[in-house]
Amino acid sequence: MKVIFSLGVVLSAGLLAMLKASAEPTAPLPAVEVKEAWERLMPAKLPSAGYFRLVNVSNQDETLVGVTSPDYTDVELHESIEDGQGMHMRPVRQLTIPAKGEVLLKPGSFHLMLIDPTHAIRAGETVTIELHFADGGKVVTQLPVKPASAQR
Amino acid sequence: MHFRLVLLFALSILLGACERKDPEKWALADVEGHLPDLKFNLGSGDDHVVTEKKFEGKIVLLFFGYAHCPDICPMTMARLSSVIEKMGAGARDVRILFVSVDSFRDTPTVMADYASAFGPQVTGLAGDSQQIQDIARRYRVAYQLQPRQPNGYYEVMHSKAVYIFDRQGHARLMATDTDKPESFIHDLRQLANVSPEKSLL
Repeated sequence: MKVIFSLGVVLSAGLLAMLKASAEPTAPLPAVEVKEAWERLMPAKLPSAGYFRLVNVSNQDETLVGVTSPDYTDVELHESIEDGQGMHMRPVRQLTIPAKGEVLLKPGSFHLMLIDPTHAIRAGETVTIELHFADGGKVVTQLPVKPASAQR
Repeated sequence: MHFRLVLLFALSILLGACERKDPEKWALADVEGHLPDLKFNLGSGDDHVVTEKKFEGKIVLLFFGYAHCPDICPMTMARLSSVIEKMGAGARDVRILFVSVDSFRDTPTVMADYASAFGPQVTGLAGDSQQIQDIARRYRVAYQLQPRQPNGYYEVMHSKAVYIFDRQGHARLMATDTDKPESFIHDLRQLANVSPEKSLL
């Protein structure tokens, strides 16, 4: 509590309010809900992909700025795109989910690239990912792991 | 007696139709005569010399990608595998060849591992940069390794074309993963049925 308050003094009033709120016994519902999540597991420690629907239930835009996972050394947000030459993957620095709107991560579009697993992962298990938002909010969710040949 | 005559007549029409060039309607893009026959020299798993001879008599779907591609490549592999499953009777004569254009990272072993995730009908192939250049040039496939990121990873631009060869190794059709599964199933069934009749003539 002491730490939180000393931090709060130097931080903005808005952030202080948020920290106070999170210290309360009943944490506020997250503004973004994760639905239909799954992972396509690739063999031989090759990068795998994560997919889900992000639903923003709040009245303001939410911006996803980072993703981490205890099960993977590195997680990147990517988008598969096609131009006149062929297929590319483009790193996505941030992804805004509009107020009361949603963004879909799906094969051939936005996806998580799950790099370098920290332990052996098998289809049928679940992995944990943490979504970090621009306002400091964090959403923790589970991805059921499906085999490479899964289509959705 | 009458029936036999009719049958003979019907058969002669059928054979005649087969002899005429391409009486079939294709749902995918017909590239017959526009691309060279299947020919390559690559490696897969412990086998460092795999050529088109291994796939003689098979209908071959050829796709170019890379193993560190978690989205488009497995999506295409999964779709092609599911299409072959749905083909029914002809399915056992169809093979998918997944050629890596990333000769720095992808070895024959990596590609065999990758392919094994999709089933026995898929063969993953790798080669050195010259071998990859050769097959890419042959089918006019564009690819480009992108600059390395701080964590060592790099992306690879690759084609989304799927090249389809008949049992004789002739290039017959071109598709992309956005073509409907029904189009693949229709054309692959047609290739599977048509070719043995042709070889009888």
